[in-house]
Amino acid sequence: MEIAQIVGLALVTTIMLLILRQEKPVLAVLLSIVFSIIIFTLMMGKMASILNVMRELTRRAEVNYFFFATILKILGVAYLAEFAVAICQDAGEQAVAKKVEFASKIIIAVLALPIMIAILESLMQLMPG
Amino acid sequence: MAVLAGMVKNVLVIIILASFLEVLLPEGRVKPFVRFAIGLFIIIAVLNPVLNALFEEREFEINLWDYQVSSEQEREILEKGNRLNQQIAASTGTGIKEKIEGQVSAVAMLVPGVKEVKTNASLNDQGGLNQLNLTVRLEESKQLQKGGEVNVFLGGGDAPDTEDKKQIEEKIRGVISNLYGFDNLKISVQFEGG
Repeated sequence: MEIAQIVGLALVTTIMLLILRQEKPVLAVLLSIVFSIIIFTLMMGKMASILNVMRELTRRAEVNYFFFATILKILGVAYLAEFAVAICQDAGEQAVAKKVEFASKIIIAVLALPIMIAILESLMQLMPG
Repeated sequence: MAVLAGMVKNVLVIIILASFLEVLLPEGRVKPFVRFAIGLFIIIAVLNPVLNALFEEREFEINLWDYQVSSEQEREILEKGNRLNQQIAASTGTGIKEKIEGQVSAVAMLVPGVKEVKTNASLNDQGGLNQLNLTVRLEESKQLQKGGEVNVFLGGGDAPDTEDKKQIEEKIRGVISNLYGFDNLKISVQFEGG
């Protein structure tokens, strides 16, 4: 029961955070970061197995792997950004959180931009004149 | 009909994958951006087969984003690549072999007591060195002292004995190994006349 371990860890961390926030706010932020990293590491293996199954499915369906790879990159950027934003917001640094969010949006746009241009170019070619 | 079937299959798989990925999406302000990117891929999956069916003679930029290589094509490309690789290795291998043989002979001739060296290098498929065979002719008028120094006797003429040959062989091996970083086992030294 992995979820029981995670819930237990989350409860302990929350209680410790409640105490630390009043006594030592800096340590509270550090604890929050450590907890995020632990959860991320624990879920990494499971995430990899999901991705392997999906990769196998795309291969069997003979769907262009490029689609899948780019979507996964975008998903990775989104997840990492969300983690960072949550940590920054926990620390009360709203401005930094906004910047991380902005950067992630730009990176996702950069990844999607060539595809958008290709679609637009193709549509423009179809237009008469 | 086959085009339509392929298109439906492609779109179906992409939509199922996209729906599943959307479940995995993190909740936040980035979510609409990710959904937009996934939407672009769905547009390509729909638009590409339609454009190909309607305008067979025209090349659209969008085709490049849906370029697929079948397993048979992939195998063919890999085979061609391997053949090219072997051709390149074979053509450069001859030149490399001759240069290495010349260099090794020249270096081995610097060892005191050695008059002439013929080198035969054998290369593997990748162009790497497998073995070096050196045939050494010794100077008859030179004799090695036990300390390893060379004395020249103009009027001498004694042929080097087995110990001298062993010393020369070790020196040649050492010089070549240190210079090129070869393993000692790859170098075989033979003396002319036994």
